[in-house]
Amino acid sequence: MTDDAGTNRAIDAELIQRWKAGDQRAATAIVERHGTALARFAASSGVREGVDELVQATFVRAFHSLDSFRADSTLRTWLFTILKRLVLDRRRAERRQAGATELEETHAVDEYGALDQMIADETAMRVRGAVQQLLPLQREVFLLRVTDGMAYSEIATVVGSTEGACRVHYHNAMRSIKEKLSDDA
Amino acid sequence: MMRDCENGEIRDLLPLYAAGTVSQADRATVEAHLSGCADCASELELLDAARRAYPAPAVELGAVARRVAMASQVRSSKPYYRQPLWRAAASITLFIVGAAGVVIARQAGEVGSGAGGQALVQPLDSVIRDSAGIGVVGPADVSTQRGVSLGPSLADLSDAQIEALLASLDGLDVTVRAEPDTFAVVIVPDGGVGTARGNR
Ligand SMILES: [Zn+2]
Repeated sequence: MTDDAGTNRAIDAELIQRWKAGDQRAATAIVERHGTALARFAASSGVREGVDELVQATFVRAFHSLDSFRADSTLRTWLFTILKRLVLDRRRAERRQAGATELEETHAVDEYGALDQMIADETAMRVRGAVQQLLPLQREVFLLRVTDGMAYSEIATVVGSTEGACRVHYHNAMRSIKEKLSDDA
Repeated sequence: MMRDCENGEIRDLLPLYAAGTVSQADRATVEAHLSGCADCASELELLDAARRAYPAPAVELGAVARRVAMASQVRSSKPYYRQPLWRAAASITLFIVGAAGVVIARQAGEVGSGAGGQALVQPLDSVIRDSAGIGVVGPADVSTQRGVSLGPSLADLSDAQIEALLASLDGLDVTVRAEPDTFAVVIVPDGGVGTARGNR
């Protein structure tokens, strides 16, 4: 574990204790500490609408079952796992509603138009193009490592795999991205 | 094609370095290596670009936190029903239900002590059972106070009133399970409606 991870874990543990003792501000602090990362995870998982609602639902579910949270995983990991479950549930419901199987494909493809506004530079757009072409599991591992700086042990919990497999996925992803970028050039 | 550095340990740390989650000791190691390794330096550029490529969507965390607090059954020193949105929802509920109460009271001839310019005070508990619908529970101590039982009055609301009530509640996305506070509705004979906090 890194120093920062240890510190973060200690802060989260204290906030959880305070929240259990009835301190509402602790819950707010937890939302503020982890909400942005959850929103990004939702977006990179293909959620385009209702990110707020998903993040909110994640915290509601987490706070309702905080007693079942075990300190052997980090709070962040646990929240990501809950969000992921909600995203999958939602996707399943949407697919059932649409009666189609194309959602799995479409969420891998990007709508560059909307992103042009958010991502200013060309390099980032090209990298995004390469990342979007990764296999879903590779992409998920890569982004958890790169955007959230997660330890492989945390990533393994979120994606339901092992540390070793996640390390392999990360490096395969990196190789694949470099290949795509050199093909572009 | 960008080349891969042979130092696997450093390459493994680069994303954590980019994300700022690397330990201080590892940070120093990475920086020492980066100063002499062009391959790792360009890999770090790629990682930074990837981070820029996946910005977090804008989320109003303060608003999320408030809604989470309302939706959660929080064992808190500041209960959900003392929070602004809940109060707004309760006021809207009371306003509509209270207004209907006046009509019923007049029809039933129970205005009683309210006659002659005196205010009629009605205690009531209102409970929002879930985000999809509402239920109104009658006064906690009807026997000790004169007033109109509000239990059945919801059935007397017009469709439009119920629509408005549900819309206002849906808009708030409230899920509440705990016991509510006690409110008193003050109905002035000229038709004005106000609310007052019950004493606890
Ligand atoms: Zn190197």
